[in-house]
Amino acid sequence: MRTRESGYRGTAGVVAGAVLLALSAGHAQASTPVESVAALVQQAQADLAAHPGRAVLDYERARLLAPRAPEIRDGLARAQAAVGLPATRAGLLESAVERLSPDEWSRIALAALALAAVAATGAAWRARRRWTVPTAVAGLILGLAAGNAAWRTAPQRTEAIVVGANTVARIAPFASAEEAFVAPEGSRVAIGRIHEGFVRIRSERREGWIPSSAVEPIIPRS
Amino acid sequence: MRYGRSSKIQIAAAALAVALTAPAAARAAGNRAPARALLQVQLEGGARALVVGQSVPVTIRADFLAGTGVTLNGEPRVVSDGFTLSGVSDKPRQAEARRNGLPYTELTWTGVLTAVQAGAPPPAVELPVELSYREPTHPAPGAGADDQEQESPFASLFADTPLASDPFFAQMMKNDPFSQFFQDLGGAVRQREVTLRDQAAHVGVSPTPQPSPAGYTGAVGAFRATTALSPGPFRVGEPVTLTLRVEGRGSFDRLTTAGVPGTEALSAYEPHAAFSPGRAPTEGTKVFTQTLVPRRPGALDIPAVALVTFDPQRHRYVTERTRPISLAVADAAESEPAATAPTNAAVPPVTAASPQPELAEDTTRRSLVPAIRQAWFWWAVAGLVAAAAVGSVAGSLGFRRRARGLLGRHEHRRLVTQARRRMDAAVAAGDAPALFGAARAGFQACLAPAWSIPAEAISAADVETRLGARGERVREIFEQADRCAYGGGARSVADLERWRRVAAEELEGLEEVA
Repeated sequence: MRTRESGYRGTAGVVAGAVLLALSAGHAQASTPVESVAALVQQAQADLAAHPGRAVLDYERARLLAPRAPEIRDGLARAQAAVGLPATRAGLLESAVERLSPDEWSRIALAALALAAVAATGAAWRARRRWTVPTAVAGLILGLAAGNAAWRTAPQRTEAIVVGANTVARIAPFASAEEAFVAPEGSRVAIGRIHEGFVRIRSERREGWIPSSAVEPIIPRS
Repeated sequence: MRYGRSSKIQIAAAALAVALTAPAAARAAGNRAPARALLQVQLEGGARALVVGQSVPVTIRADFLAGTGVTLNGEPRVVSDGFTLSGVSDKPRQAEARRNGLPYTELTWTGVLTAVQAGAPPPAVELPVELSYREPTHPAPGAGADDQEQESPFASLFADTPLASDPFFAQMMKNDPFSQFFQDLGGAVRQREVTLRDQAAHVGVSPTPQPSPAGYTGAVGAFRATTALSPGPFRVGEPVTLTLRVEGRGSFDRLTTAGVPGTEALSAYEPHAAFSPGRAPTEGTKVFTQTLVPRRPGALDIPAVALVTFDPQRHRYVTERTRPISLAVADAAESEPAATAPTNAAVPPVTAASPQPELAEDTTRRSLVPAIRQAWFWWAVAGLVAAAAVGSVAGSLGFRRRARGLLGRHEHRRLVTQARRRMDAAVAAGDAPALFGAARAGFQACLAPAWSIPAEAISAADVETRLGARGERVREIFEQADRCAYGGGARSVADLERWRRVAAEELEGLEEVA
């Protein structure tokens, strides 16, 4: 019996340790400042006149860190107007979701899941089941919803912005290949394979190859 | 039809048997032997004197006799160190034409020829092609009109008729199309790679007058410059876009400017240029955009930008100066800065850039990668799920009951300790009822959870019934307690100490029962 109790305690300790380690790793990563919203906005303002596509990229990156800043929202609309793109219009639900950053949604999801885990354990132990069961269900629902919001608001690593002007997408990765379409500057595309200075992009069901220098991912390559 | 480095052009028409003749040879031969392929270079305005840096539109025309298969092995190229050819159209314009009564297909390219070296010989242009054609069975190099008439297969049929002396009929027979048809029958198909070449004669290049003024970058032509500034208000630290728009005709690729120089009051970045071609090859608009950032509040003068070019018509240097711009710059901290519109605000700005408010607060991160795209986040989720699973399984496997046993032992220990304290106090006070009362209360508290009956309800009879001989001394302590409660009783200190030890031993021993 003593051995079994020790096993339960050990398992719980290991799980708690792993969670604490993961949380502390995330906190440590978030606590060392490198990317600054002010620097990104300043860069976007400097790029707006000569490189509006790059300004769109800078504002998209700044929006990841400060989604509620009106300066960034207005600046992004201005940059999109400069390249002739329509301003991004979001629905009510989408606007509500985009009020928080992906990281804020992620923290809410983790907190809700932690609450659900504690409540589910308490319910299994028949401790105050009147409260623990609803709390576990509510925590699980909130955690899943917040996780979904974080997933939707966080750009994929393949999402990129066309920063080159008059970028022609071709059907093959070389300069003399036949033109497929023109990728508008500042537009959002999905990038795929890379081949000898060309990258394959997908934009509104169209696919083509453009020079690697003409597109940059929203989440910078590490 | 596609044109490129190696494009094939099939000229559809009746095959005519003529000799392949070089353009120069064709010109020398006059009408005696029509050329199968011909190249001509023509400068706009004809032959003339150019200056170094001057660009002129050029038309390159290649004529191919109908019935000739043509493969272009490249684009037209200039063969001269003193000239460059640029802006040659990718796809030549194709048209049908007649030369000396023969059908030809014309391919026409347009481009810009720029003189780069003084004293250079007239430029020559080449076009590499591959021709395929049918070799005539009876070639007639240098054959005259009389020879063709004699070779006509129908001529003998009319020799003895009145028509033979009719001049109109004779002329018709001279141009008999069937003669070429019969000549062509049985001829072998030939393929030849040839380079067509022509030289723009009577073109001279002279240098621009020396010394050239400061700021001259080699642009030759007629240009007109205007400036515009992005709309205000203007604040310290916020970028302003200066647009220099140059329109005209000439060598735009040599047209550059350093823009407005930076000062203590103004940070200036390198200007960027964008060229939009006009209708004519050398016409267009070049727009320079420069980002400026005011560094101090107050009045700020943006100096004029000078553009030095050479006008070949007037044969002198021209310095085009834009108007200086004055503006009022507000401090960055001011919420509603007083701004003055630039003096040339009538000119619309090229870009949509306008100053933006300062960011209310800064946010910093080590990485832009969202947490949900990082491994630690998913490890945390997995840890939480595992913790919940382990906790739930543990609860469902009866760990709860064992934990309650642990709690029961802890509670028993607490009650024993409490009873001992009270007994020690009673012995010290010589209070026998208190001693036995504390001992009985301790026994009742220990036994009540195990027997599932209220502590107060446990009596000596219950102890005797449930514990039997093992509970003999416990039962005795219960009876002593009853006696003390109802009859009192003085005991010696030694007697009290003995009962205290007995009670303590029994309390320890009841742990197994509890």
